[in-house]
Amino acid sequence: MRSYTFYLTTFLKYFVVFVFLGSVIGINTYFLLHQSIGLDEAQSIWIVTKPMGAMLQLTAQDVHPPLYNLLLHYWLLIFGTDISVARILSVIFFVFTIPFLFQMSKESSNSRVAFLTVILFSLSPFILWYSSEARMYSMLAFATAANSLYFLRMFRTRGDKGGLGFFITAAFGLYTHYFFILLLGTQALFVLYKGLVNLVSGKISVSEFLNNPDEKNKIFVKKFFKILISASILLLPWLLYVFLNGSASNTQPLIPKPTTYNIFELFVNVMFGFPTAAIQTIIVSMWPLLGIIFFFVFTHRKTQPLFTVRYFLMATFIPVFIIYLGSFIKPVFLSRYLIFITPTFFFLIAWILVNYAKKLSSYLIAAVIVLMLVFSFEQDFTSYTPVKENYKGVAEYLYKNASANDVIAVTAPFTIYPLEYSYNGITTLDTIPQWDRLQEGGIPPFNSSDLITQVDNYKKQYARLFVVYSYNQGYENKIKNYLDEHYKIEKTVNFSQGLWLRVYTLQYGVASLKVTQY
Amino acid sequence: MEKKLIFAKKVDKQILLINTAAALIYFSWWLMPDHAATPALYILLLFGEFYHVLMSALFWFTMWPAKQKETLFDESYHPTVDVFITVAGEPTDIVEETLKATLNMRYDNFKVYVLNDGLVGKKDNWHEIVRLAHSYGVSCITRRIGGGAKAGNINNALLQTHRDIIVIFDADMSPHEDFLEKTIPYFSDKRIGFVQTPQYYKNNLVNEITKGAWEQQEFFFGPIMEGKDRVNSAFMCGTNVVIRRKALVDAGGMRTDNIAEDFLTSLKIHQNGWISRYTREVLAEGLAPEDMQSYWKQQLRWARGSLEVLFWENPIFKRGLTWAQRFQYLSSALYYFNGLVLLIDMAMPILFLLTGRQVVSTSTTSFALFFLPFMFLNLSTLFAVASGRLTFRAISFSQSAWTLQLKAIKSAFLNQKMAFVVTPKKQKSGNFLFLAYPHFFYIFLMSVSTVFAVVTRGVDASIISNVAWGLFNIILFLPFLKAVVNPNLKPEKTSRKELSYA
Repeated sequence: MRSYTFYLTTFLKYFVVFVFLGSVIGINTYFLLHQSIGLDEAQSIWIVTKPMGAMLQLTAQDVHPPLYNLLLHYWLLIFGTDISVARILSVIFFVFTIPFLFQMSKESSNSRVAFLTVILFSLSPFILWYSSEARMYSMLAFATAANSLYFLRMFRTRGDKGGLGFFITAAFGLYTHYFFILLLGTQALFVLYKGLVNLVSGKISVSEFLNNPDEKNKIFVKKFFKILISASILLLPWLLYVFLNGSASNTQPLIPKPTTYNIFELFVNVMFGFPTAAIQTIIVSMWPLLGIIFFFVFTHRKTQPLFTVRYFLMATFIPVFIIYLGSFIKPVFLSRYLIFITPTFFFLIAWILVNYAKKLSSYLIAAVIVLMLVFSFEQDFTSYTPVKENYKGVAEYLYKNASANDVIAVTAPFTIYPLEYSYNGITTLDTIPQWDRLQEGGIPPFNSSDLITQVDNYKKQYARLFVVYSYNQGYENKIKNYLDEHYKIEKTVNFSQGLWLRVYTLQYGVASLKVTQY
Repeated sequence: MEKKLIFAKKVDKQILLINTAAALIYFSWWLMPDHAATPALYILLLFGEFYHVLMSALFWFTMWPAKQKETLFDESYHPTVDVFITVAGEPTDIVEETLKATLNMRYDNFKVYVLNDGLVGKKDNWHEIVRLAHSYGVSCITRRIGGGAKAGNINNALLQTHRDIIVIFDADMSPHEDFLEKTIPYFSDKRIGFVQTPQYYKNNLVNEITKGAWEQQEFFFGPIMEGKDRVNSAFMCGTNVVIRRKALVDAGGMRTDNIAEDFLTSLKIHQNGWISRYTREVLAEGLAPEDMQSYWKQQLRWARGSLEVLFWENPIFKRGLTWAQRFQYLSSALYYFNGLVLLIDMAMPILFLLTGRQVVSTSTTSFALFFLPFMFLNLSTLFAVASGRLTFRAISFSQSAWTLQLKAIKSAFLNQKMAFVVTPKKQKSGNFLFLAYPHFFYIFLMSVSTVFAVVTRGVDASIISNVAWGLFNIILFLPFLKAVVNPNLKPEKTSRKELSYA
């Protein structure tokens, strides 16, 4: 029988870890909840605060499925439209992810690995960032962890357990993000893997592949595909609705084609969040040391149990490569879209770390945790974090410096969402090119002659032009060059990476009235 | 008695084909001319990468699950057997243990000989060995005229004995009782030339060196010898081997013109069309070198002997060998070229850090995308065939042997004389740190180059990448350096290294 001291020590150990994790998550979440609204967040809030019909229509025209917007719609209806309130919904999904992730890891290995998986996941600056962002990414990570738990349970029990959970989480995931289909596709590939290998190598014929002699396996495969197809069918009405309402408009930022660097950058982001470009380059450049990790992984040690390494490898890397290759047709390689690889990725990292010799393992785990903490706080406190969008700062500046005689123009046009949300001054807000958001057809393309006309019109009415530059859509320099050449620059202010403002004088001798603003 | 087997696991052909594809894709990267920034250095690296890919391909070839030629195994076959215990100054107590075990073998028709080279080797205990042999009623053949080292000793005994089958044991290799019962039946097949059994180190847990030495042996006597056996290419390893007298005599006896006499003699026997067999059941147990200098000398002898075959008896051009045998011998001999390739790989980061001269012109991450899958697959396959038993220490010992391999390459290429030194069976005291001086010098050079590069050019992606490559090499040396600096182990609670039993 275990002694009283054992229980006390165990309790204290868990208590310390819980307090530590709670404090780190708490501090990070507090800071992240109170930072400036981002472009995507503002867009989400703008969409979800519309009446249901308009909201669904706008969602259909955007690039994501509707579940998150629906939930956020009601969430904001109940609790108010403040950005911090909107972000709390993501925090809740983050918290929900933890038990599912723990259970998935425990069932696939043991408590030790599960414990570390959860710690790494919870301390990841990347996860913390998206857990406090009013977007669907935290919900997507939750869907993945839950779905992987039920999928693996189903696989392990040959379909006896986990079927319902798998169905619900598959449908939930598909309605959360379209890329979830990549996870389900990977699972299908995993289920058929052995058969496919045998088929390709000629060990079995097509008919043998289709009629698996292993009856139990055959039942499982059938059940898996039935569930998968049923969940996919549930998405059809939405897809039809999207088709009828017009597909995604050009309200998305311009995403460049990825390079091999971006693949490594993705994993650096997942582990260490969004350090400055210089630090990120340093970390990525250390890739040869991955070779040493491979050596460690593939040499003898007392290995912790692992149900199936193949699933974790496939679920982590296959979607990355598909999206990478697909991005040469349509660039979509963004680390946040790939958040669904994080549960399996962190499991693999935890499993590898726990498998080292005890002393080395402790040092490595401590080093990784310390690094993650350092990067977390660096991400929170510096203004150089690449994903930070300080629209709040812009709004404050405009509030103090722009008057009713001035005009504010934002480019790219879709960045009006966060500015509009943060700015409550009296100066007119416009976009370059000019855009009516409620009119169908999306943002009009940039045209130099339209720019001249637009600025000439401003000149007739306003004293100064405040141009807020962010999300270069390929024409930012044309606007800047034209204005710089033809108008006097009064001031330039940088707010965060890629977000800056320039003030131009339009008319001389017109007093810029500073009206008290409410 | 339980059956002790060395691990070895077969892998699917598909996995090996995937590996091949990854290797070809990786190597294709090196064949793009626009990737060369400094052609001369690029060609050097290209040579190194070609070597890595070639060695990987030869390894997969060894692992290929080929169907083995069937041979007879008639347990009722009982030819006459001469057992040779080769002695050249080993401690008498160790020889006695071997002698006792040898006499204890279950077989009704064998005669034991102690081949005592202590006199010609000017060993103090040669007379003791004579007395020891006589005290057990065993014949002792003491050479008075030297020459040919161990091979000469065996050849001398060949002339004075006559039985059909010869068994060779080193002075420290104690056979199990069933050694002959498990090996002799193979000779019922008249095509069999020799049967090799594993060289198990019973002192493998004594210290870091014996551990490292055994872990390397375990891999060699596991998947590698199993793979060679499948294509009739298992070679003699000097001890624990059973040879048909006729096969050995046809080959001209043990070859005395090579420091690794067993390797070259095997090649000759195979050339003459004999079949070899390997059994991975442990049937004799001996001692690993217990100090770094002894280990080093043993490795140097093997490296030198194998490279000598490569330079002067190249198996590719040998008549009578099948292509599979030619590739297998080539693979074993080429292994020791690793030192030269590693030297190139190690020098590149230093050259870049000191001169700023780029060797390749593309982004380092695009290279990584070709390299990492190749490496990942290669190591995972290695892991699979080794049933997860290959250790980082074994890899470290292999990689750290680049200094001795360079020495062996030089001496073999210039055909310099190198004496056959029997591996000491007991730990020699002393400081053998000098064996690691080149490794420490590399660490020093990397540190200086890094500081120089950072001070003169600042920190950029290329500098970080090259420092990481340097670190990669250094980390691989660490277990070896630990074994040199402090070879003695802390007592372990449980033995991880016990063999699997089947």
